[in-house]
Amino acid sequence: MSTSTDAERSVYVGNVDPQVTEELLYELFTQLGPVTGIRYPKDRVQQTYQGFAFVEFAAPRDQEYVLQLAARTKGKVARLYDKWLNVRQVGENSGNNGKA
Amino acid sequence: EAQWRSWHRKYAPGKLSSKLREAMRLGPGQLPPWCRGMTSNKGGKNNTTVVETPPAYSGMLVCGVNWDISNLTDERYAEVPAGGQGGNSKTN
Repeated sequence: MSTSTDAERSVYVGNVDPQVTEELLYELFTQLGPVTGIRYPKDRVQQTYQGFAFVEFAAPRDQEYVLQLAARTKGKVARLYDKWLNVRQVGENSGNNGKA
Repeated sequence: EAQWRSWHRKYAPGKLSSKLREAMRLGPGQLPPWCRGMTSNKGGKNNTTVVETPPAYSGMLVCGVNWDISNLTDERYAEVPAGGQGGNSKTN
């Protein structure tokens, strides 16, 4: 059992094209570390994805690595359906990045 | 959860499904863009290049990073040696 908090193991992923499935996110981020959870909210009314997700890894070092990789690639970690994913630290931007 | 277990069996680091490669617009012979972030040039006297592959996958070999590019195929750009996975869950 890990004692780290979810935030210490998660990254925020923005600019996600609505065609992207949770499975695709799983496969993609598994490349960088073992994925233990994904929160990929849908609009309650329209039932469409809202363009962002939270990807949780097994350990804080995985999160750190992904953030370092995002910095070293100058934000160009991967693009899906012609949109470069915006990979950031959870809560780095506004206070309500899906923190329901 | 059954879905996660099936994904876990289906996907592995170093391997990309055709669906993901298509979504990434990754053509034959092209490396995933994140691979570029696995090497960083520290400069200095010897112009040292530092290789940083995912910490969870010990010994991971990545084409164009620490593995010859000739190992690149459509389905595989990297390989994790046996026993290299699950580094996070080691309890010894």
